[in-house]
Amino acid sequence: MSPAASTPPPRLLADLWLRRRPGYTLKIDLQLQAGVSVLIGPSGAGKSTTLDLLAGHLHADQGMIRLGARTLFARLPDQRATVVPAESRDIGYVMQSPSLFPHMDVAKNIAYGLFAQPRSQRSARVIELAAELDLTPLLSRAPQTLSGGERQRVALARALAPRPQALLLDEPLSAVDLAQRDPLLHRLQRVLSTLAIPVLYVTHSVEEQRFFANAGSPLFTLQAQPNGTVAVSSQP
Amino acid sequence: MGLWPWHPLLLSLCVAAVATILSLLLGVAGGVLLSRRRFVGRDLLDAILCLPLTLPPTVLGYYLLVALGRMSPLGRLWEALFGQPLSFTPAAAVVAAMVHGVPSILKASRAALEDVDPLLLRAAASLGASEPRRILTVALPVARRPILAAAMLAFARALGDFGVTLMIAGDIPGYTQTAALAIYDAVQAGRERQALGLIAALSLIALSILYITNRLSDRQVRTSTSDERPTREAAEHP
Repeated sequence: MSPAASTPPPRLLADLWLRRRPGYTLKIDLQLQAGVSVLIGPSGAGKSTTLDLLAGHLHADQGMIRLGARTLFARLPDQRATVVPAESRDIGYVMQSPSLFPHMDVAKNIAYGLFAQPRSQRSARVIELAAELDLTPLLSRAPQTLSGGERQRVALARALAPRPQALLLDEPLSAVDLAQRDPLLHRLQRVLSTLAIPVLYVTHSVEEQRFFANAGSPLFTLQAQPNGTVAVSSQP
Repeated sequence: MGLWPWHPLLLSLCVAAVATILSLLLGVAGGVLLSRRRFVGRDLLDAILCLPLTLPPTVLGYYLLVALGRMSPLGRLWEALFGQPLSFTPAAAVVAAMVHGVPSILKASRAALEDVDPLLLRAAASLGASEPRRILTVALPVARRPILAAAMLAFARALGDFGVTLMIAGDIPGYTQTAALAIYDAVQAGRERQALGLIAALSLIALSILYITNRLSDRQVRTSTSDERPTREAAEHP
């Protein structure tokens, strides 16, 4: 499903520093290759903040973000700042709550990011993604009538539709019934493993982390340092 | 008088319709501005824009006469564009009807837009939508019901305006005499039948508008509760 990779797959690099309030400093040092990486950490430690920084919904005090050859964010001492807004980052973001557009059916939700494309291409892409995520029978349904797992699959299809250059998933299974989690996790893993882009999967579930680790995904942890900062890094 | 007795009602409906459409455009634009942008004096601007909701019609009419009269820049611009002064024309009646319409729709749309889940707008941004696109395709459609309800009420209110209309549009039978003014004249002149007819018609129209508005907000309540309690479908196919 990913476009023929004639260019090398993009890497997502982030080196960021954010002070939210005295005593809370978030330091992020991430190097994501194409494929799924897992970010794990306790609830409330700053995992969603990390994703918001990468997606451009929040801006760091200092640092840089690079995706492939593009600089998405750069705020360094003695330099003019570069801040690419969220809508121009080409980063897909599946949030913890699916946040589907309540006034659109499933097909329109999936097609939302394809506004720049002609109608025929849009519907072809929607049909392709619906088939891949088993959403075809739901295309004309309203989001309010879907189960948690179905909503999350629609949110994933919607995020993938415009072929982003990176994908962020914020605890995508947390709003899903326990019984639906396992099948959805397998499906997610299958879909995500076909993508030739960096994917950052955030979770606080040890099971989900183990599941992706078994599939060979690198692990990043978010943990409090002795000096009071919270750091995201590749050290276990 | 030889005038068609229902002319004032027809004029009222036309004036109220045009005033409501213009109020909707201006009010929603103002609501978008006040809800999306933080700037110095935002709340002061909101207060000034909503002042017409509290001032007596004579004060508002006087302000409008000064602002739009033949000596004012706006009045002169209007005269240059349309060849006649604005005051004491049906267009002035539209302006009079907008005096309450714009602020009430502005208030309602600001509140409705601020109520829109910011995560929906973030999702739209991450899908590549610029801010104007996010407002037009997500924020306004999601907030549409309370805004439409405010527009309906603005229409009903415009239909019944008396004081401001009298001040700047006058009471010219067959030209600027709206239903509310015609009722006053009819009562003063002892034309009971005409007064009663117009009174009944205005009351009926206002009642239907209020009834429909309630239905609109009812449906809103129903959808938001169904939002919180999603119907669980049968177990998923893995």
